Amino acid sequence: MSKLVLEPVLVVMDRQKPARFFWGKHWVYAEKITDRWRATGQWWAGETEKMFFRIQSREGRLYEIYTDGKGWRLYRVYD
Amino acid sequence: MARGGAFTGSTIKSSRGFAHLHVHSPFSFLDGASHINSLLEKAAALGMDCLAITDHMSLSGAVKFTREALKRGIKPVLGAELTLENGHHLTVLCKDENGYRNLCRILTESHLKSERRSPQVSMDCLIRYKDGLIVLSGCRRGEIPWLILRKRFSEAKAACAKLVSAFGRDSFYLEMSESALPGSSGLNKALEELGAEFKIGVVATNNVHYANKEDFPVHDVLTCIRTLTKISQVSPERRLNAENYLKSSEEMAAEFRDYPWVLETSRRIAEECRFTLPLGKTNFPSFPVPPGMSSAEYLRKLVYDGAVERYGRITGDISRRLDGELHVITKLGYEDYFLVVWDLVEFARKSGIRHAGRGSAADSAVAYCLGITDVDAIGQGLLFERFLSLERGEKPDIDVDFDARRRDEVTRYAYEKYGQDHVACVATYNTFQARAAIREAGKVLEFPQELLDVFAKRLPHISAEDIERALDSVPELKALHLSKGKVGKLVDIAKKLADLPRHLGTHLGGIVISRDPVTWISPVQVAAKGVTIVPFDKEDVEELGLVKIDLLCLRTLGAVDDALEYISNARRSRRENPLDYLSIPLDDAATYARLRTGETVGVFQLESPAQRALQTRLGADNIEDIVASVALIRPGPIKGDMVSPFISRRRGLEPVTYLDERLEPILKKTYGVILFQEQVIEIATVIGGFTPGEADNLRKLMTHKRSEREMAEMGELFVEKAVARGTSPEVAKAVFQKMLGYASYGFCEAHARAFATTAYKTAYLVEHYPAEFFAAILNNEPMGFYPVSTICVEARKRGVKILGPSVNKSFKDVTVEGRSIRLPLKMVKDVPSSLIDCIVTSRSKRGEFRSFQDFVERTGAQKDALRSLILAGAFDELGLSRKGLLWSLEKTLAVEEATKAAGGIARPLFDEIETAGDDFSLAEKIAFEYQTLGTGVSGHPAELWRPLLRRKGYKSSGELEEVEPGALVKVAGIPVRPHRPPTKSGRTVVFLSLEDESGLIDVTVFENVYHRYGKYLFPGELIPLAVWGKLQKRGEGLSVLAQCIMPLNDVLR
Repeated sequence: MSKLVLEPVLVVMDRQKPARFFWGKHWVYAEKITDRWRATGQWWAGETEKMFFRIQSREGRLYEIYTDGKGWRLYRVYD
Repeated sequence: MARGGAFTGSTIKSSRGFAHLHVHSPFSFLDGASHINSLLEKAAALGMDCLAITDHMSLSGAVKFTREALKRGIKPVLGAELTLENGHHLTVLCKDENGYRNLCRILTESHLKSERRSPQVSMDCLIRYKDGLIVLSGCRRGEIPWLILRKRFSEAKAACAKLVSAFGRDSFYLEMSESALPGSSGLNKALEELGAEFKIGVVATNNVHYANKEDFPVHDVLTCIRTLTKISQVSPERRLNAENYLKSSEEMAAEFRDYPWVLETSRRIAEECRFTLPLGKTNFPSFPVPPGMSSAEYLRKLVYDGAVERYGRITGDISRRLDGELHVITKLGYEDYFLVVWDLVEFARKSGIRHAGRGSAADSAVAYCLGITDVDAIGQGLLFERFLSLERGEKPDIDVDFDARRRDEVTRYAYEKYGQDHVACVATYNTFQARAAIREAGKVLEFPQELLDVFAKRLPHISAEDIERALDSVPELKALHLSKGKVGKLVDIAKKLADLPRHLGTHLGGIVISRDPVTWISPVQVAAKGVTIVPFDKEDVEELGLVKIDLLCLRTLGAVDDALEYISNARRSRRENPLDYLSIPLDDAATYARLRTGETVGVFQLESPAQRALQTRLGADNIEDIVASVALIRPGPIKGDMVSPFISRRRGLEPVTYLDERLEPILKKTYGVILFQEQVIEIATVIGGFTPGEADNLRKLMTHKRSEREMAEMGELFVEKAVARGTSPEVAKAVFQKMLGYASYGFCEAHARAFATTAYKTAYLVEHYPAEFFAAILNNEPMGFYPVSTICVEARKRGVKILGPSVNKSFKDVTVEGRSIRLPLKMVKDVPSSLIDCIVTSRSKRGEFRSFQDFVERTGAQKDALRSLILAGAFDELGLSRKGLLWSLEKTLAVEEATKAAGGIARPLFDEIETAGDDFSLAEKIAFEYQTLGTGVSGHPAELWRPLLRRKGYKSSGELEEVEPGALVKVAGIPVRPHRPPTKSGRTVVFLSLEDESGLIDVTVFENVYHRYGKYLFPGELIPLAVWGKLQKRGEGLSVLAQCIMPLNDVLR
């Protein structure tokens, strides 16, 4: 199960990869990036391209965060 | 492919970087968003020296791709993305000639065995024809990646083992096709491991669907068009991101940085693919000649036999000409081609299928003697070099028109005689133009349907690239107030769809007949019509080496045939001999007199408003005038403003002069004016001393509007050669200037002559047999320039009565009853052919229908058909009002149904059906007739408007003669064919005719008036118009120069 979050998050990068992000009043550390992809979104409505990362945290939870070049958002959290 | 194997390996050596081996061109139809040139330009800009195309189940882009790639020094690799029977994809590339032939076989077998539009390859077929092919495991829809993405690893392994065993380690590669999709990293890792396990190569591709990242929206819209998806809807076919563009080697290296060797593999495969499609070779058809004779000997025999028939006695001149032509034909190896065309025409002749050769083939005396054309090239002094010459060595192009209804019989004969494997129709690429681009992109982008309708209908027939300009300049579009904010995005996308092929169609008449099986050269597939086609258009087919023959449909020939039958019936009833079409005299005074009045509606090639106007000014009195007429009303001569000077000289109002006395014999027949392309060739030969081939090159240079530099060079050569032959430099320069001025507009005389005979003969039929000829035209609608209603008005003008359709008197086709034309049942909207057959059969078996109920009972006609028949007046003679019948229609059908269900018990109820006593008004009747027949039978709408129009000072077409030329006049009618031909000044001039109860009124609208009233001229629907303007008289013709245009309703209100 997963839930859509769509909240802005603060991300710290390490060698062009997210290393940790701040959400829910604490840092989530990336154990590993399990997947990454790009999505164009609704280009016809003026949306810009987004880069998605699926992150496995040190605690073993899965998160998806994305950046559209301007900022970062937590997209989805997996139970 | 030419016998003996003409393919040669490419000499281009791949040397650097990555090679894209999985690329979709627009010939993936709605799945490729960049033109072949754009893809190649991008590849060249990226420094790539090799590129493949791999369209979905198609090689349609192969010829263009090969030609354009070679021009840019890029090695073209041909292949395709195959869809297997299990729905999975595989990418295949041709290593060598055998691979190409095998790919053609695979595609052919798949297209012919599968459902149309969803061809699938069986594994068995692929294995059978695997030689010469390299197979890649495909995009994410390939079986292996598909299984891996679903974590079915052992099945993926089994699939890999199967494919390795089928194609071998050297010819099968795993394809890492994308890197920026969810799951890509896992997929690529698994592919790498699989490659290592099976010891097979892994290659990087990018599954390219467009040249640049910014082209993604176009591809997305195309995908939506293909999958009938709206932009806001989700579809698995739509791509998640814009990564499928032609990436540079560096970008690909970055994407696949974890597997650098997969880029190297792309180079290795590219180097292994050494096949280049040979272009420009010829694969002539083969004609089965009688034993003991060569093709050349047999052709010669047929030509001389034909010559005896055509000329009676063969003079030295005739024999020299025929021998000369035969020498060229044989030297170029075209004898079988001529024999094949002769064979097809001979079949048509024996089968009674009316036909006529057209085009430059009429320059050939051989074609005349073989019965391919009816123009005596020797008698008319036509130049064979315009058609064929040793220097040019071009493929001959013979076009033959056949009666449209029976042309397919000729095509069928070709298939039967030369074999299904050796004959195929030529395709056309249906491309996005302005209207379709707006409609289709607009639908995807969820614009309101009403807006798209009016937008598309008001767009002129222009390229989608020009939509933006049209929005700013075309008055009827400006009137829609479509701001950039409102339609900007739509116009942007539509513009980018310009000229992209949407789907394959079947060429109107082009077929190829080849010596070797067609599938050695091209794949073959089935078209919507059920015929086999090669998936290339006529230009590509010729480059591929196939020789095309055009078997065209000409409805006029069907109309002539019908007219002759009507005339024969009439003459038979008067105990007269049938009319001999071939013996129609070419000097009939009454026919020329009719032409001079401009009343030429229905006459082949001479019926457009411009032609009608020309006829009133030209004063035609012989067939040469008709030949000139056909050539004069063309964009070129009109643009070049050469019509008026020609008329003045023809009528003796201007002296006929020649710059050099040697020009007189060449230009005498056109009064010193260069009108025909053949004249350019002759002048270049006589004055410039050009060889015939050089002269034809000059003609081509002129007709194709080459650069000024090329023209100047050619001019210098002409003057130099002419001076060397004793012409003064001044005269030589002046002659070249004349040629420059006219040649680009010149028309092929042979073609004009081929058409002129039919034009004159149809004029003869209109003059002497108006009922029969107009009936024949109506029977062959849609044809010609005018709608049914105009033909009916013109027929009435000639004293012919138009009788409405009748369930008891009409047949499927139009019939002639004395001086009256009976409209046929096939003309009534919503009446199916099966019902017509049933009506006619029932009438012949059980006599006329006695009542409406009797009709319903005997034919079982459905509601829509009954409604149309009622409104068209087809039951009038049964004595019931149309309104009453319509009123009782539901009840009648209910009773009929109940009767059937109850086995006749309800029959007495019929007596209870009542019909309303009154009928529709005349206006309603006419409106319904237009709706169901396309014309009024009870009258013309203008008759209803006339009393009020008269009170307001409007004149009918019949009354214009009473008005002084130059006076202001008010006219009204139904607009017919408003059009904007090209003009010399480049300004827009609109020509249209207004149809009223007594004929046509020609109206000319200059640009300033058009800008104010364009929205009424091209509103996207039919609006009767009122026009105020100045009456003009040119020659015997009248026209109105519009000053004010408005919807007629505004006047009648």
